[in-house]
Amino acid sequence: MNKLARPTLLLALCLATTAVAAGPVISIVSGPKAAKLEQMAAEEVASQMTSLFGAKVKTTTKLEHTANVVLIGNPKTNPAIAELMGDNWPDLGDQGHLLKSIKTEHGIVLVVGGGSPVATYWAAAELGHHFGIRRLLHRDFPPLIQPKFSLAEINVQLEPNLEIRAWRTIGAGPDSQESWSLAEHKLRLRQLAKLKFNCIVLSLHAWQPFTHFEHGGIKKRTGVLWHGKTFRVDGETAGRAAFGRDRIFNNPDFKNAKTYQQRHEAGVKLVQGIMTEARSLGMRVVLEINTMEFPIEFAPIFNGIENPADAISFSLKIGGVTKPMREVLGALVETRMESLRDLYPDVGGIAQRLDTPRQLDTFIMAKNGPKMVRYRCKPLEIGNRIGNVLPQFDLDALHKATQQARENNRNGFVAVCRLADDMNTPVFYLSRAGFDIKFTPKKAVDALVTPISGAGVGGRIAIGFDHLAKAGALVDKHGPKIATLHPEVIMQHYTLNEPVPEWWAEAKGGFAMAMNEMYRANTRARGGAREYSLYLAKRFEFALHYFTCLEATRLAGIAKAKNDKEAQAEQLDKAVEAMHNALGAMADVDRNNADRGLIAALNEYGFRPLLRELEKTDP
Amino acid sequence: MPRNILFKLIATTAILYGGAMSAEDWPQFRGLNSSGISSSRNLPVKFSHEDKVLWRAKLGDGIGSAVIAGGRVFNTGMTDKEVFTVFCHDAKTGREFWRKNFPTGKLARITPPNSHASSTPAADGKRVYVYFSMLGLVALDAKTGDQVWQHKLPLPAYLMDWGAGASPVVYKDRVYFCQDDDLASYVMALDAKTGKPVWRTAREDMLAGYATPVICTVNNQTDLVVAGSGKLKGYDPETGAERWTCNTLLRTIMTSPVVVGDTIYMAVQSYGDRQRTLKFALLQWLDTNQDGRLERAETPKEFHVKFDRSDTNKDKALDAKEIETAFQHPNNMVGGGNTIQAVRGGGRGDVTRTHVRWNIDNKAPSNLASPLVFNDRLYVVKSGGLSSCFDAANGKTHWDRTRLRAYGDYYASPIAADNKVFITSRNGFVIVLDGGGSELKILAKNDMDEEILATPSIADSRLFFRTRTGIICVSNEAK
Repeated sequence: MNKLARPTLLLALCLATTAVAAGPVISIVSGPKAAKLEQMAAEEVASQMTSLFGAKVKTTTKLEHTANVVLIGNPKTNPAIAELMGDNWPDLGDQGHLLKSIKTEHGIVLVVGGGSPVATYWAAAELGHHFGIRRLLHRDFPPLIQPKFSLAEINVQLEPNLEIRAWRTIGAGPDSQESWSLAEHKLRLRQLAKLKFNCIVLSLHAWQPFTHFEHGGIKKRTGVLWHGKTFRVDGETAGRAAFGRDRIFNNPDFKNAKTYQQRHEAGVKLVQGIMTEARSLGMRVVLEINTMEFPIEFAPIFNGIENPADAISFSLKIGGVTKPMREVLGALVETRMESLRDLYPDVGGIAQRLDTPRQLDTFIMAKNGPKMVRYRCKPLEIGNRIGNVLPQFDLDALHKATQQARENNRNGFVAVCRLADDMNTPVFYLSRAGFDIKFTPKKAVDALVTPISGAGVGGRIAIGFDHLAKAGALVDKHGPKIATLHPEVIMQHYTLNEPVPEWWAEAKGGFAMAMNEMYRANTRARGGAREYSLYLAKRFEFALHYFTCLEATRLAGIAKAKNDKEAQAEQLDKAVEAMHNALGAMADVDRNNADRGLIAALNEYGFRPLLRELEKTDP
Repeated sequence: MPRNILFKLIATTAILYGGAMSAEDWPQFRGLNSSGISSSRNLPVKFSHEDKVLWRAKLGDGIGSAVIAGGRVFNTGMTDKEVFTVFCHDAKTGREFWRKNFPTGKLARITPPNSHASSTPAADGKRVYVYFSMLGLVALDAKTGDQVWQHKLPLPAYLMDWGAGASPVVYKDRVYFCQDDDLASYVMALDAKTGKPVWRTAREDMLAGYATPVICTVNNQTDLVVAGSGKLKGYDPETGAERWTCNTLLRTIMTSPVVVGDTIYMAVQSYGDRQRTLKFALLQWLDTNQDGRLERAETPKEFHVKFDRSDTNKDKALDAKEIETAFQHPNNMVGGGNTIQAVRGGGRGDVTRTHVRWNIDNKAPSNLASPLVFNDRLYVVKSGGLSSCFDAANGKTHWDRTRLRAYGDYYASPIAADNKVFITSRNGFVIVLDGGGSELKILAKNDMDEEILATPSIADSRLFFRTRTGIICVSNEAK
């Protein structure tokens, strides 16, 4: 090959390579002193452009006039935006954010900005939404059909209609976020931030290891998870595949914490970790406690409190506080609050939780600059009531509750649920409705599902949700505690000696129809986000088997009362199998440690006791 | 096991596999001629994931069984998102001799709990033959793992996206492979040494199925027997010509036949009743908008040519009449149900009326786990740990759907040796039955502590359990 030919060949190869690469070239420009969240916004946009379009992205603080430019921030934080938009920058609130395409002599400039750094981060998330990315609580899904790249003609401007959009976490129970490690919390917080949630409420209990205080010579020494219960997950365990080689169900962050002190240190590390992550994502952090709930060792302070021998905590009823007790109570509460402030000095606010059946507002006392402000937020139980483990949500009811919150001048909402990964659609609805009063549940299903699963899927999902809402309404009306985890949740039906309630068959039928729709949708979602519909299908399948188990347990109990051993054994056998199938369905899709906590607990409260009863019937 | 049958198994092995193997090898899915039976003795009764474990190894995700030939164990697994790996370990010590990684590229759609590493290899002592959807059939040198040949195959297509799962077998220096999918089913033979195709026979009247071919020799006629949708067929292994068909099977065949002497046994459960042809399943699950028609957009794109062919009025939708034969062959409009049957081999033509020895319709069989015929008894196990046992000669019931008290799904098929029957649940429990009598007698319930979908293997007095993520070898040799 001659000397001239070689460079020519190399050039031809380079051009050929460039032609094959095909992605747009994009310059992403932040201000020279961009806040951390604005930098994160730039990274988010860069990631989207790369993954969606194979773009060649350059992030910089100096404006370069390339064909495609994205400016991050607002006129105060990014001089390029000030220069480009000047007086045309709209009057955005702190939470207001925008996407605006502007044609310049050099090409298209897209401004991704907001009234504050976190609002700018939300603008970056909104850009992903524009291009079809959808956020579920465990990860992002790209659009099924790759969108055409264009930064032109994008014009979105959003302001919230609900100022506080909060997510309640931790809570209590193996099936709650009490089981989540810091890694799991961080993952969900990042997704919630992209869904524009701006507040985290950490709901803590007195007997948990997240706080420590001493009062009247008594030191707190109760610091446990799951009310001190232990759940074996080896050997005869239904859904065992969910636990790998573990013997005992645990929260990974507490695995090696054996003593009170170790658990307390792990607990504080967890809470502080959640708070740090949440704040880095622009979220307000609030601690929520029940000031009337105490670890059992403090019972002697209140004379005459009756407690069962194995209780680890006690609660005072508001009406039961006598005059002499009030002073004592006040001092102890103050000690607790002081200990919280000592442990978590950067907390943004404290909320009081009242464990009552009525949904009272959550009052968040929070710092807003130098002032303490009280936010009145509606607790939205976006799933089922009283924390039962059946998959339940009603988008229409949620829509009404959100409208009422606005009409009643609430500052916002606190989303409350049990098993978080059931709640992708309600969360998505809240995320959009918080900025768009006209956003409806119907739009929510279509807007969430179609871009990532394809045409034809959303319709079935919506029908499935209708069946689910009807089944859930029956549960709420007739048996809201039917699946609230406690040691007798299943076996109480064995001793009741009462007929199977008629509504069970109807509820079961509703869950079955909802399940079928999810499987139908799942089949259709070829190449798309099948995880979404499969998870729901298995959850509804869980509910179906759960009711089958309850029915058979009741019938077994009736047979036992009649001394019909054959029928008793037959029904116990059905109950055992149904519970095994229920937990197997959960294990097929378990997505977080609360899911596994549910499996662990129902083995302890349902599968094994039923199996023991069945074995007693062996000749 | 009667000595004459055991002798036949050993003799068959010597013919099939040549000098590099021994009669105690387990060379393909369910061992010698997929019978599920080994001549091994001194197998442990009580064992667990901690007790009597000779060795264990990590393999990555997979549900294909281990195969053993010439003292080597061959397995497959997904060791990364897009990496398929073939492993070779020392059967006695577990020492890894070699592993061969194959980048797969973007993978096909499958339905859980299927795995991309779902096929069981076959080995003849010289080479190991594996199937993987994106690669086709691949032969590796048994000693070194070096690739000997690769034969690419079209990606199978499934209306319900189940995913690939067929396994090759080796017989007389040929590799036989049956791919029954919903699009273009076939059975083929390749030269084991070179990978050169010898013959390929289309099975146009088939729907998706996963039965492994078996060999049946009756009166000097040796057939390659394949169970498929609606039909059990015998082919000439030399030419691929169809010799006989017995039209007594059901629509979805996921279990494999078992041959004992001149009899072929099948046990099948296919969803629904006899009237439930494919059309009903399509209208239930693929008709997304439930308008009683199947629209083009509702079917996977791989099936659009078939779709268009059946769309006689060209309205981009198949009505109830058009759906009937759009994907299910008009000559094979079979439905669901249950059957356990014994068919005499060695026929010619349509043997439906002449060669069925017995056929019972009861709810005992599984849709997933193949039957075991051992000591003149036919064993089946189904979901929930319901085991049944029948007389192999006449189908008479020894016991029917009796709980083994190991609940959940059963994907693994029962296997036997040493007068013991081993039944493995998905939840990782291995029930050992006394295989010497006609009464159900549970000798042990052993906990392997991991999910198991693959049928276990037996060779040289060792049991090999391919768990979801690895392999555990159990033996009385373990200290």
